[in-house]
Amino acid sequence: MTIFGGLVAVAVVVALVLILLNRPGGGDDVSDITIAAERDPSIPASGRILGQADAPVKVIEYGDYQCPACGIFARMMEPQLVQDYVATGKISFEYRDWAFIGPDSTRAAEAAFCAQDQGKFWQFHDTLFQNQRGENRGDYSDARLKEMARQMGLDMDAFNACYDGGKYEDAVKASYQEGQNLGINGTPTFVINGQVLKGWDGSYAALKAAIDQALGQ
Amino acid sequence: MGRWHTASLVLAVAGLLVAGYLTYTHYDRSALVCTVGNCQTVQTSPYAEIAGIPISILGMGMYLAVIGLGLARGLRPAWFAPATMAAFAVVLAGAVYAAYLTYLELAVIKAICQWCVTSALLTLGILVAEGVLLWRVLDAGEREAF
Repeated sequence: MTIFGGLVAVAVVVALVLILLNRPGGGDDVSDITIAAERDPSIPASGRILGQADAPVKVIEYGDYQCPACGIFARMMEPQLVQDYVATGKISFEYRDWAFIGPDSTRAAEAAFCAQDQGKFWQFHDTLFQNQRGENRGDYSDARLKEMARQMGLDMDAFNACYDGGKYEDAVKASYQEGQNLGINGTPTFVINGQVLKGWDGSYAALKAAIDQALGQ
Repeated sequence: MGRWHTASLVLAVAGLLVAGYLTYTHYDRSALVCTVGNCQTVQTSPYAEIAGIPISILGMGMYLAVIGLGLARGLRPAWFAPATMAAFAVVLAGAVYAAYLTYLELAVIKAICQWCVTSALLTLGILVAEGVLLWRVLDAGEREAF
């Protein structure tokens, strides 16, 4: 029985070491936060809608701030989309939340609404995607979101009252429900003039083709 | 080779395939769209890696060790006792860890990944088989001592 006891002890110690090593780091480190530049003021923006209200085609993105594919879109393709279609008055582009990956997604979405109250939605949106490191790692912890707001120069009393008070909790939930009703099951999903773009292959060319089709080009 | 020995090997090969699949999907999530899926939630959670190494690779290591030890004791009868002891210790550590991971899925991540659960059940099966083999080894050892 001593051999058996020894084997069990070794196994349990190894398992405990693995468990200890597996504990994720906290989300309170704010030292690596970077702030995105403000958007080009020549592009008309109203809240979370870019472009002219009477643009012939309305493109809506349903996204999740934790979703890597949304991050890739925001960083690599959206600037091109804005340049090609929003700046030329062909489309308006709106970002809506479909926060599904975890609590960080919901917190980030609510914080972005609070930044929107202060007219800083797009800079906050860009900052969130710029600080995306992984999923459910506390990238969008309360401390980090507030630090982003602070470094962006937002009125912190107003931001904290909005964020801590859960002012947009219902709005984020409603946006998710709206996406559900459209049949969305992943992000980013684009809705072009009310039509969900299905089977998007992740390329700018495919999005461009769908928009061109809606424009009748 | 006895029944339990064969069972342990077969389960370990199955486990290796499952862990291999989980490792593949861990690295192949450059997916262009983030979809709703419990496995994705589990696999992208901060618990899915230890120091940058996916847990599924640890799982593959455990299954490979069990297969290696199983083959070794099949080849050389003299290695039967030490190989069985080592295999039991490896798979017990794996089973305790798998139990912890299943607890995380249920209580912390709140999502169940069926492949992870499959791996946990296979580990449990191997633990039973290795437990029986170890019991026989220790039992034989005690009788020899008298």
